[in-house]
Amino acid sequence: MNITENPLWTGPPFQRKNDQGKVELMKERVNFSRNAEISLKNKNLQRNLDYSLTLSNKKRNELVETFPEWEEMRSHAAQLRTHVVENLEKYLREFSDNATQKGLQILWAKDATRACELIAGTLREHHVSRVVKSKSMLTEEIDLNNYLSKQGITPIETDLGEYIAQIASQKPSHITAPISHLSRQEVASIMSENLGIRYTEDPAELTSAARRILRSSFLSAEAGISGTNFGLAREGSLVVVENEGNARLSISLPPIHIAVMGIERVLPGLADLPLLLTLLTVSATGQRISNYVSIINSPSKQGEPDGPEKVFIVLVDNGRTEILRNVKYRPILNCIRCGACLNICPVYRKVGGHAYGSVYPGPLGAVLSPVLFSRTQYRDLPYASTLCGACTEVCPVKIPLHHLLLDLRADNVQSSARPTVERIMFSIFGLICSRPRLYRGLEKIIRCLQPLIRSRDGGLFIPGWSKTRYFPGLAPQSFHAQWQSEKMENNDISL
Amino acid sequence: MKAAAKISLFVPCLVDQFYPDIAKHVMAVLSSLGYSVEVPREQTCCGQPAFNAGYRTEASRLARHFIATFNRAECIVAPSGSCVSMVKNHYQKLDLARQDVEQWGKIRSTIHEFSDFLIKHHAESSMKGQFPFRVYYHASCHSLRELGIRNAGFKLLSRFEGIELIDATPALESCCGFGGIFSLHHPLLAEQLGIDKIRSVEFSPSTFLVVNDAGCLLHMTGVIKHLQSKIIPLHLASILALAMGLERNEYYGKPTLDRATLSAKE
Repeated sequence: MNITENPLWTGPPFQRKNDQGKVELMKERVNFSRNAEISLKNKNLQRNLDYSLTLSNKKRNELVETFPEWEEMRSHAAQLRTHVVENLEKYLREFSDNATQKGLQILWAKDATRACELIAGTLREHHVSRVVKSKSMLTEEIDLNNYLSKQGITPIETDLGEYIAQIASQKPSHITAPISHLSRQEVASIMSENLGIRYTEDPAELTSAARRILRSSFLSAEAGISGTNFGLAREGSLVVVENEGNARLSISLPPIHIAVMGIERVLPGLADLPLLLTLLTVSATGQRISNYVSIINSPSKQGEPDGPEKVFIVLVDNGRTEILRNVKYRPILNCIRCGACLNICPVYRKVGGHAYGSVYPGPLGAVLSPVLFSRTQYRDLPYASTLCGACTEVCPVKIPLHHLLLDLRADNVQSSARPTVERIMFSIFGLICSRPRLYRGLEKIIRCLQPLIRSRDGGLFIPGWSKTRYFPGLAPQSFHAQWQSEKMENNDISL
Repeated sequence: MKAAAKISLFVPCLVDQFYPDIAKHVMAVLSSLGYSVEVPREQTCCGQPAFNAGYRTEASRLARHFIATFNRAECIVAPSGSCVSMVKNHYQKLDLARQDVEQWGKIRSTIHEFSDFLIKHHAESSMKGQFPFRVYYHASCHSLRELGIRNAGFKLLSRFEGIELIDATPALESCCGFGGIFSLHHPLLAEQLGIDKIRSVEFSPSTFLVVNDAGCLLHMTGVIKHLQSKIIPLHLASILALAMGLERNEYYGKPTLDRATLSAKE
């Protein structure tokens, strides 16, 4: 069954169900133009995105105003993240040594498959059949849930948004607000249909219904899986940032805790945390600090009444060292996954995350997906931007997102991944514009031909443009032609 | 503070071909402020369309041409934030000879966006005029975010008598959907962004939507016409020329802006 057959589905048809009936991302080349057009037709989606993202932006902007030193904070964080990424090996080694010393067990995973195997292996070893999960985009990246299901292990998402997405068989459409594409009514029907509760749109009632169900999952789960926001090298500690308390329960209640962490997410030490934490929560949700920040130092020690007996950290590479080798795109590893660039992006705000056909949507995803996953599959994404630069401006670690999109476009041209017509057009454009005489001559000829390329609205016919908008005709004479005429030479510039 | 008395005007290709009046208005404003304005004959395009589409070989060719054309200019002014940003911020990524790079280093510091140049060099007293209409000002994304010119145009407009300048910053700072080839690759998406922008402008008779980039102007004009909206899109230079009394004749053939309308408002 195609996911679009689900009446609740509000995203474009870029996902499908596998043999087990689980949702997975398509492997084919993402056709962003087509996905965007499908999304645009969905007025419901437009409304939902506009509502939730406008709110997040407003909260973020208002809070940023209260930090007079915001720009200095960004610069400092950018330097810090760059420093870490450039010395990643050193910091990872330090992190792993110190974590191991404190009794946290480190597992290294080169790619997604290895990461899934390691996690499933660890779970099997401890006879785990039910596992609670707190929000982690990395587990989406490695498609952990599908892997675990195939192995007979039931993963239960406990972040409310992720939980709703899971019971609706949908993929998250945003990296921090997974169901920002859904309305309250849609959430209400998803929950009433899948959980057998009465239909209500009251957020408090819906939340408490989810809480009741999830609470028993927390108590019965034999292991908890979490993501990791930061790993502190000097201390060998893990930092998990969240709002709902579900992550803290996932990592403290079951006897086994597995933290999944991208290898780029290290910080030199605890002293660097306040800055990065503030930038993260302010940018993500407009909060000075999130409701919960957990710093995990060790498994429970003897005599301690709670905490997991064993803690594993799965350090996932999955293409990150490849990016590290490429100086041009290295800055994308500085990302702390706040989602601010998604919220502000005019394109994302119109089409939502599903149109990008990647775990990572928005400007961040348009850069990361091609360099991390596949240049071919995500070839279209660098064009999913007006280059307005709002993403770059809002990024708390100053990643030059829209400049990286430009670099990716140049790569596409270099690797001949662009249509022949476009290549020829730009070659001609380059030839003409570097020869002023030719340019001046041609502008006159084109003016004679202009009547042949009139569009019905009286403007010029420009393929791709004239369908939806008017394109003005060329002025009767170009400025330069007028300027060169005698009248202009007499310096009479009155019109 | 007075800048170099001689200005070399860079006329962006869109202005040259579609909106020549904008260049005339820039010249009129600069001349009225006492500058001698020259227009280097060899100029064509800064290379931005090719660069933004990823065609760096072509963009490099145009960058070299731009540098050769303007390398002796004391002061370059262009009525476009995105062209200026292209020259200032992106030429470094292109394939330039060492000599070109040296000359570019100089050009980088002598090129100015029109509104930014005026606000930096001309006090309120030197630019007098009136414009008794409602005006929304949209600063182009590249002047805002790549050049960091936050409100030069807005401030310039606020100098005129009678102007009703609407401050709708968040709505007006979002992109109009042009984005060069973006508007061709994703026509529906671009149109929708344009519509949102136009809808954020509350219409009343003689409402002007003023922009400082011909790209935005082209796109917004296209959307406005499609929506059959009566909002009048204009380049900042044109408003300045009108307000300062430098624009005398009928304008673009737009009936809304001829003398009859102007006097009707009074």
